[in-house]
Amino acid sequence: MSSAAQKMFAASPRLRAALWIYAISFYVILYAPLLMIVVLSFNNSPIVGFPLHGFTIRWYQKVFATSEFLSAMVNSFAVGALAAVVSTGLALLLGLGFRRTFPLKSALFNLVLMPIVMPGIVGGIVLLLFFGYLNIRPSLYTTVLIAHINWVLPFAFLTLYPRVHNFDSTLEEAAMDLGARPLEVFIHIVFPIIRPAFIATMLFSFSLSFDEFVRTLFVTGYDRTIPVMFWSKIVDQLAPELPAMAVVIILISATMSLLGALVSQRASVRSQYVSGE
Amino acid sequence: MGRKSSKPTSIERRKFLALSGAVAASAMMEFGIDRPASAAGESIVGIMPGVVLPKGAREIVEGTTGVKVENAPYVSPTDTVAKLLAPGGTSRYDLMISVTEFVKGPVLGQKAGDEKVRPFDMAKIPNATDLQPVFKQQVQVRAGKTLMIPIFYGFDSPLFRTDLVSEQDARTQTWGLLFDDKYAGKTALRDDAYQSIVVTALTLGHPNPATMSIGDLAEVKKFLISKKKNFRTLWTQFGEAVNLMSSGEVIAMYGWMPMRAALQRNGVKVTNAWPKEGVLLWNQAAFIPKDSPHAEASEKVVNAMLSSEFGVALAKESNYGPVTQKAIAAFSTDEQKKLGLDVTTRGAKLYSMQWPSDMNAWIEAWGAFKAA
Repeated sequence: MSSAAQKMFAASPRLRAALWIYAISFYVILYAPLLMIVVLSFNNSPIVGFPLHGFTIRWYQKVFATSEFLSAMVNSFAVGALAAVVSTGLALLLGLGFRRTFPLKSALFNLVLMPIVMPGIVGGIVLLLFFGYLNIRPSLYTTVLIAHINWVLPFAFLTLYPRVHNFDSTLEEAAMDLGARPLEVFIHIVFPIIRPAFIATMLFSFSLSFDEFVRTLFVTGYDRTIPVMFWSKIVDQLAPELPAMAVVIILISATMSLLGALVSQRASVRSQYVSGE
Repeated sequence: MGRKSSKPTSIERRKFLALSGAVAASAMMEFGIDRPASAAGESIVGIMPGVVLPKGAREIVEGTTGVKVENAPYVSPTDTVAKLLAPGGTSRYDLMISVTEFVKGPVLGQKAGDEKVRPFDMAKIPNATDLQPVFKQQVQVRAGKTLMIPIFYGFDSPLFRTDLVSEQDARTQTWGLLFDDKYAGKTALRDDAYQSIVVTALTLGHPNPATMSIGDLAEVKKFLISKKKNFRTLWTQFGEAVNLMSSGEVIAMYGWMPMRAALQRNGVKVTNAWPKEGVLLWNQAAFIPKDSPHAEASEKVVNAMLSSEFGVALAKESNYGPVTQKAIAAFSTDEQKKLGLDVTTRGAKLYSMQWPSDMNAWIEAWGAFKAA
């Protein structure tokens, strides 16, 4: 805040009150639904909703005893991890490639980002048709994994590319002057410096994959990921453990996103340190 | 070069490798978790509502046939047809079950030879001879070949809270209950163009809404818009609808068979009306995509689904109706009444779902109502 703005803020109680009201309203609108889900997850009632009928943790016990949920959790973790590794690896290669100048670079850049701007349902239909032409039956480690990589890769590229693009090339040149081959330069110079950003991108990619629903719905078979399993439960039945399940899913997603943000912040600090800022 | 100590880097590397190992182990574990039996037997890929194969019913089907049913998520009849008609759809799936009236058009095509499904070998489906007469009429046959067989049925009717709406109220004998100003702000329709327009048209006296003219449809739309303020909401999901009734936010709504059962199980005083215009009766039929590589296995599964054991399990777990006579007969008269299994025998007026003459116009009308 500028010093003039700070003075105005300090001088005006009404302005301060208005900003407090705005801030509180903002956070209430943002987080009240989440808080409500948390409260309902402990509600001792077979009906999902108010009024409250006492405190219980049995819905959490039921969630962790439900093999369908555990199976979907394993599926989501497995697909998420694989999608994160593959997408981040591909994003790194793309990032390294885009450091150079080549024909149609701008067009290719936009092409890489296309899945972001494509509505999820269109993406799902496109993938359904694609796999249909190739006669690939829906399954977790073929159609679903490819769909997740397709969705996550542009985000991974957007996250990693600035780090790679801004990498100080004089370090690489110095290493090559001392006789290092390109692969050695990458392994011993480039990758150690961008590693925190790489890990942060992987965590972020995992989070995106974990939450992916629309495209997955079109290309999945019998094996469910968490979002698809959760949606099926809402559609098919009144399951009182749904709020508890939702809380667990939110915690996992939030934790991975937070870890990614922390590692990314560390990567920024490291990048500044290396560049001498 | 200014690199910091290697210790944090080594720890990060070890942690990363450990995480990768755990993920790989999890991926391998996944194949062993929650897999029903018949690992050494056949499996088919199906698309059908999840309610068709609740746990007990699935065990019956897979146990008697040795075929594992790998059902992909079911979204809607439209989605089912889209997946069948998409490139590779007729070979990618082995069995589909969806609302007969909604899918038979695109599934069967306009004339012989246009079918996207293969005929059943009825010699392998002996249980089909036990179909209730009303559902035998729903078996889709073309040129002497059976292409679609009903597997289960349901009916939609007005549900209402008996502690908040008197059963003696004459309004409970008509779909008009949902539009009546007496209950303004306390009723709900389903957010579905077809079903909501049908019941509105029935309320207005159209005997066969599916054949309404565009002028009649406009009249229905106008009426809906005039009553829009009476609706508390338009529900979209099962859980949402049940929650509305159980909390009392809504005291009468367009409802499904299992919703009544779910509410009653949880102690909510609710019943369904038997409107004079007729409850909406529908059934879902099984069909085998024409290029399925596992057609014989699919026929075994269909035959098992027409067994009385499956029908009883389905009625008890999903609260939908079995289509076979032996399954119905397994329930006492009181049980049939309680579960709504007497819908075809209690003399109630029935309106069987039919595809409207101009579905696009219906969707447009519904959109206009929602936007009004």
